[in-house]
Amino acid sequence: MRQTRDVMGMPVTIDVRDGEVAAAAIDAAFAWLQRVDATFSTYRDDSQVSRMDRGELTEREAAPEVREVLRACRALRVRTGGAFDARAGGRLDPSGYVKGWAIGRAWDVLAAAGARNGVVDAGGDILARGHAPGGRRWRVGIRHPLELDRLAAVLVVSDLAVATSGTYRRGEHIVDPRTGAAPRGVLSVTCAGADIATADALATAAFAMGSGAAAWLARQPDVESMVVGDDEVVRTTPGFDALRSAVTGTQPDLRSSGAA
Amino acid sequence: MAGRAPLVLAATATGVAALLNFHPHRVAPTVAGTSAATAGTGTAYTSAVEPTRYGNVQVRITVSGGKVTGISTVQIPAGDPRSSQISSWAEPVLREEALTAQNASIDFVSGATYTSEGYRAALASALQRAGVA
Repeated sequence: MRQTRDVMGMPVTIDVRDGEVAAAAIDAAFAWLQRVDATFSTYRDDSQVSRMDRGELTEREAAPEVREVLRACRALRVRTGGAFDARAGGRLDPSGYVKGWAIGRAWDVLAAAGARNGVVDAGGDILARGHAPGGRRWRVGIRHPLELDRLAAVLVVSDLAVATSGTYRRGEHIVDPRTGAAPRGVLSVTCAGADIATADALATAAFAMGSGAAAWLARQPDVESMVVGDDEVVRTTPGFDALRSAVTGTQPDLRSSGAA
Repeated sequence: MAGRAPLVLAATATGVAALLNFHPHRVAPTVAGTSAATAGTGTAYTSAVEPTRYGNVQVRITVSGGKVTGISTVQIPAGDPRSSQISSWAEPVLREEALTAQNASIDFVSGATYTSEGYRAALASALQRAGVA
């Protein structure tokens, strides 16, 4: 059961491969994402984030989800030395965290309805749970930063989140909050980890760091990473390499084998 | 570990201390570690126990004249093939390769081709053309 809808200003695909999960669960997951957009969108004047930005709503008065997200954003600002900043440029814009967070919660909605195997893909940020049909692991391509119809790498994953930031996605809009300038030295950053919100936010932050991205990411214990530099050198952590597949072909991976 | 030692030894004591979150008040006289090769002369500092998802990490360094002259592990996760990554905090392990373009059968693609704003605009335009908007 696979559906793509326009939510949060991007195409979102929900793919659930458990036959017993009701279609209503997918509707509920999309409804959650629409609620996130209504609450957090900086494009909607009546969202809580827009109202907070105008000073009409305090954090204390905001919804619990808003307070949770803003707390996480503050922790990320500290963790990234300011490379992730929900108040960069003077405007409140937590969307660099909200998308990944919303994807994770959307899966929670599906899991509560019995989903065990499936994917939520919001604009190229991916949470893959369980296995694909046939019991094999999910195959996630990393888009090539220069040849957009080709791949720079292929990961074979189960129960993992994969997020990519790059010049091909909102590139003009990712700036280093510390300098206000577009990052240099890096074409794309991919993070893979257990938590989609963390993977997405760290990919965004590392991309903003520019040429320092790979070394910084290699020190982060909760993500594995791949950084494509503008010198067209790919820098990967050993854990990332362990997720990569052979260049072509499918790899049978039956669930009963217990392979991670 | 041994192969990494020169990198660590080249670092300044403050740099290593900051990286590993040392608690310098726990100053102790120089202690010959379990490994004679890593025992240096100077003052020994034992790190706090750092919990990681692989297990606890604790190291002891010896500092002389502002330089790290010796390092030994007090605790390090064992039995995990990736524990070498933990011991490489000071200089992370990265593999480099040339960027290549591949084709392969996949289920999903990470990294979108549009800007959020561009997508909104394109969608609006398509809806208009379709006579829906």
